[in-house]
Amino acid sequence: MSKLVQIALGVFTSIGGFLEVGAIATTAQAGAAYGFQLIWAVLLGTICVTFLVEMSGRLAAVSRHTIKDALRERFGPRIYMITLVSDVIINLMVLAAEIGGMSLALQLVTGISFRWWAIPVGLLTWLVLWKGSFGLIEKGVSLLGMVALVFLVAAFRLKPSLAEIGQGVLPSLPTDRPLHYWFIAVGILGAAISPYLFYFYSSGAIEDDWDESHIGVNRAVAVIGMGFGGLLATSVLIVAAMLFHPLGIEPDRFEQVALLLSEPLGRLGFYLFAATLFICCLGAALELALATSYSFAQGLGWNWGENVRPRNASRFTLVYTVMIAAVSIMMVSGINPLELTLLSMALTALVLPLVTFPFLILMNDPDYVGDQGNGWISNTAVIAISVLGSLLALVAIPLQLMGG
Amino acid sequence: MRCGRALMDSRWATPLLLISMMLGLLGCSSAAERADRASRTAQSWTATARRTSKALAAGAVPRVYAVQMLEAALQTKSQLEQRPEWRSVAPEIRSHLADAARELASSIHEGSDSMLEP
Repeated sequence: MSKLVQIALGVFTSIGGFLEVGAIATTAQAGAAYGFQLIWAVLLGTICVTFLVEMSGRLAAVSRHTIKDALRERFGPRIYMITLVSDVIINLMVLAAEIGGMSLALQLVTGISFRWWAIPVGLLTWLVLWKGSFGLIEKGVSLLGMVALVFLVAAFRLKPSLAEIGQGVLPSLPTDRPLHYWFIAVGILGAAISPYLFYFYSSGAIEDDWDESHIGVNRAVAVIGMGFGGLLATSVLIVAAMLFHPLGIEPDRFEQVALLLSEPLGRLGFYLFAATLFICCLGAALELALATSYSFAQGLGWNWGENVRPRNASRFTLVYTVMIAAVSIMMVSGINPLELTLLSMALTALVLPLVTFPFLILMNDPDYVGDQGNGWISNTAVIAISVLGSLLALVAIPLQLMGG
Repeated sequence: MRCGRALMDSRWATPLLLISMMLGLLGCSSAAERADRASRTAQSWTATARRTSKALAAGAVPRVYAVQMLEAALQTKSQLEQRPEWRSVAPEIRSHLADAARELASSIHEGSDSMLEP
């Protein structure tokens, strides 16, 4: 396959994979509550995740190690177990939110409560993992995720003011409800810098047998793909800022968010919203379930790989099977998917340093990356954004929870 | 275990207690804040119900969606009414929510407001 085709495919899959339930929920809330004011948070999150995705691909291409595999080898079992426990807790919550997102998409078009859809949707996710290959998941589902471009179309049709967007790019202090503002900002960072994204990416690079010749492809995919993904998330924020903010609509249920596309695009927009929510959540659920299985298998030395037959990687398969079953049952209980999403995104931001710091040490270790180590810009950007996200989350989460 | 001992250590106990008290004081919302939140929720659902009625009339959303929104608006209204702070919300905001829900119900049921009956 030519490098250009690889880059194009990688970019499409990154765009499709960027937008999921967390990004849609947090950016819609941000636009609805604060207009364009929180665009800076999407920008920061995009910058950080671009660096992290590029690093994870580079690590895999140069060292032939996935992140988890290298973590276990470099830091020993204790650090590996700490990162594993935090991954499992966060990934379970985010996976539940994604299953909730898919179920809600079906509720929107059928009128049947999302609780009834949780089990069938969980089964569908499991079936795709059981029967599908890595290529199908990486390219097939993510390419379908291109339907999310509809948000970009909607944003263009609404003709937003470039000056107001420009003001939103610069961080500013809130004029109203500061606690809510920071909680949403933290959620946006957590949604953008989801660790499962780069765990999945590094495992994918090993599944696709990358070597040092892929460093250029990796860089282009990370920068262009994540950049476009960030643009899509910004589009959701812009549409919410233009349609919801002036009316005072602040969604506390996902059903309200569906109105975003029906105004600029009519009934087709409504169905495209449901399709986008379903496909993006399916893609994210598949990546999350796989990323967690990879985390267990790569650290504990089990046989792993989505291209390996389930019977030959039974413990790897068992992890995603148990996870999907558990969260599907959890969603049947009727937890509000939007609240769960916002909380899980904020918790993701809270644990960021736990994930990014050991990873940065690996990326500066010549034993792993040789002369392809990090430069000071990527080190500084990732440290600064991770610490900022985590500190804000540390303050905003308890206050938001106690304040209701 | 080591972490548990550290937490029990008196050097840590005082700052932890102070931090928890500070978070508690900052986090516990006042009656005015609760009323403000209730007011915002009511206004948000009023606008949502009106927007849905408009979208339904324009054919931009299916009826099945409008029914879900009506149920959600009514559920929110009933939850708000059970809260003590609801009484401190401006009367016009309270009545606007009821009006918007009624408008949406009539858009769905062509004038019937049977869903609003207790």
